[in-house]
Amino acid sequence: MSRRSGDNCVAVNGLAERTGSPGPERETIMTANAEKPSRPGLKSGRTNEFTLFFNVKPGHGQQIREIFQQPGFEEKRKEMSTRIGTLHDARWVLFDDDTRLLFATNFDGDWDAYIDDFAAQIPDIFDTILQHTEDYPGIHDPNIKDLIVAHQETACSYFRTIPDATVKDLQKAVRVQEAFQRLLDEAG
Amino acid sequence: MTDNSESKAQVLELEDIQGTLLRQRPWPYTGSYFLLRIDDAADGRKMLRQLAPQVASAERWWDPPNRAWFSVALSHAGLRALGVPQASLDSFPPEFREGMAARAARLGDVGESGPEHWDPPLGTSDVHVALSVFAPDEAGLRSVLDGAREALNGLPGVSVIYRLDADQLPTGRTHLGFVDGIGEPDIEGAGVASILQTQTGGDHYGYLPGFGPTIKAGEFLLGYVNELGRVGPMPQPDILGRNGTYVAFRKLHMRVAAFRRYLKDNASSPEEEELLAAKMVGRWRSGAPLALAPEHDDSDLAADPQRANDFAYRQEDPRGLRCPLGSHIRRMNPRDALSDTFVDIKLHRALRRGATYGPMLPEGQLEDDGADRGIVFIFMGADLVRQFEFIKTQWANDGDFVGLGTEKDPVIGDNDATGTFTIPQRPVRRRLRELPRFAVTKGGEYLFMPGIRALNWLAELDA
Repeated sequence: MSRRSGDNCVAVNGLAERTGSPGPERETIMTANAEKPSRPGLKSGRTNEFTLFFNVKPGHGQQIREIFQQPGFEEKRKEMSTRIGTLHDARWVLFDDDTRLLFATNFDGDWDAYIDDFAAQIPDIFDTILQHTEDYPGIHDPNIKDLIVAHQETACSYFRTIPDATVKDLQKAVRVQEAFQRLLDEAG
Repeated sequence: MTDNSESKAQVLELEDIQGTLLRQRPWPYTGSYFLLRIDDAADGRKMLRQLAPQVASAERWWDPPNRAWFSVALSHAGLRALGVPQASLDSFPPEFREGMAARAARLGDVGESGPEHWDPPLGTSDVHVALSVFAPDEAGLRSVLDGAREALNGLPGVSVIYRLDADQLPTGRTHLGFVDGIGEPDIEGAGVASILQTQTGGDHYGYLPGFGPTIKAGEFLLGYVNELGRVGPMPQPDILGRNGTYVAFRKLHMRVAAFRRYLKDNASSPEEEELLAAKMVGRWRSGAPLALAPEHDDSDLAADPQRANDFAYRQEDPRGLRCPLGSHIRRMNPRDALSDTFVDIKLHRALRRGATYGPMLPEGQLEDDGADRGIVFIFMGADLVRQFEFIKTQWANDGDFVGLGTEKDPVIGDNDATGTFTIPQRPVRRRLRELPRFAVTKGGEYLFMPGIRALNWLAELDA
C-alpha cells in the first residue's frame, strides 16, 4: 500500500534507468536500504525523520479532521508532547481526496525503544486517529512495531540545520536565553 | 489495559523456575562460570539429563542444598546443537537469534570494547551452554562442581571451552570499591516479601523497603502476564518457553587504576575524591545512597537494610543536587524521577546477578598492573530489547532522557575520553571532563535460561 513513495525514491534516484541499466540500479538501492542497521528512517545528528502512510477507511476522512478540532485537543497534545520530550513537530495530512493519511514527525532518539511506553502510558494519541485507517489493530497489538515499519517510508533525503540540538537542548537554550536577557535588563 | 488477569495475583511455578532467577546471590560467595561447546547432540542431551536434577529450583530459595546456585543457560547456537527443531529455533526473538556480538554497535561495544577484541570464545558460535555455579564457601562450591563434572564424564561430544572464576573480593565490594547488588526489582509472586516477614533475622536475601513498585512476573519470566497486561511472546513449544527467561551475560574489565587516578586528578583532597566517586555512582562506597546521605558516607545507614534503599527522587531531589541526574544508579533505576514523562519504568527493569572476577588492585595503587579484573554482569528478563538493550542505549549510553545531551553513564558508559559528567550544585554546577572508559567489554552472550521442565524436555529431544 505505502510502497508508492518508496518507488518515487527509486524514480528520483534512478536516472540510470534511462541510461539503460534499470535492474542493477534498483537492486543497488534496495541493498543500500537493507543494509541500514536496524530500522527504517534517516537520521540527521540526534534526530530521526519518521513518515507513515495509511489508507483511510472509506468515508472516515471527515472524522479524522474533526478529531483535531475538538475542544481541548491542542492543550492535550501540548501536554503529551511535553511528557514525550523528544518530539520536534508532528503533522497529519489527509490527501488523495481523504483516502490516504500521512503522519510525519521529527524526533530525537529511537521510537521503537519507546513504543511500549507509548502503548502503556499514552495509547490514545495514536489510537484515536489511526482507528480510522485500514488494518490498524491498535497500539496494544503485540506486533505493533512491525506494523508501523510496514507503513513507514524512509525519506530520500533528510536535512536539519542544527542536527545536534535535541528538543531538550532547545528548551534549555531558550530558558538560558530568557534568563540571560532578564539579567541584562536588570543590569541596564 | 483492562485485562482481568492484571488485577489478580499470579502464582509462580516456583518448582520449575531456576533458583538463580528469584534468589539473591549467596553471601559471601565463591563461584565460576563455564562455557561449553556441544559437538554431538546426543552427548549434549545426555549432559542436560544429568545436570537438570542438580539445578536448584526457586521453590526452596531460602534453603537450597548448600545454599548454592547452579544454573544452566543456552545460546541459540546451543539450542541448535542440541537438535532443537528448526520451527522452534525460529520462534525465538531476533535479538536472541542474532546474539550479543551482532548487536555490539547499538550496545556501545565498539572500539576497544568491540567483539573483535573480546576474549575467545565469547561472541562466537562456539558458545553453546553456560553454567554458573555459586556457593557461600569452597566446600559448597566443590560439591556442586563435583556433580557437574560427573555429568560431563564420558561425554566426548561436550567440551568445556571457557572458565571464569568469580570470587568475592576480601573487601566484599566491587573492584571500584563499592558495595553493590543493593537495588533489585520486587517481582510479583516470587514469595519473597511474605517469607521475609516471617524471617525477622534480617537475612541478606529478600526484598526490603525501596525495592518497589512490585513488577508483574511476566517481565522476568516467560508465560506470565507482564506490565503490558499480556503474556509476552514465547518460544515454542510451550514447555520449552514457560518459566524461562533471557540472560545477557557480560564480562566487563574494570580499569581500577584509571578510575582512582581520575578521582585524584579531579579532586584536591581524599574527602573530595570520595565525594566525586559517590557522585558518579549515586551511592557512597558503603552503599549509603546520596539521596539520603548527601554530604558524608553513613555506614549506619548503609548497614540498615530497612533504610539503605528506601528513597525516591521526584520530591526529594528533582534537580540532582544530592544524587546527580547522570549518576550510575539514577540511570540504571530512575525510580520515580521520570514520572512526569511518558516513560514507564516498570517496562525497563533489570534483574541483575553479578560477581567480581580477578585479583584486587592493592589499595591506593594508581598504576595498572596489567591484571584482568572486573565484573561479570548478568541481566535477566523476559525481553532483551525492552529491558537490557533499552537500559544500555537510552539510559547508560545517552543523556537526553534527563536533558544531559550525549553525556553517558560515568562508570559503565561507553566513554572515550571526550565526554563529561555533570554534578548539579549551587551556585554553579560542576562538570568533570575527558571522561575515560572505565568498563571495557571483554565479551558477552545472549542466553536463554529455561525452566527445569524445559531442561528435561531438551534432554529428551528425539532428534
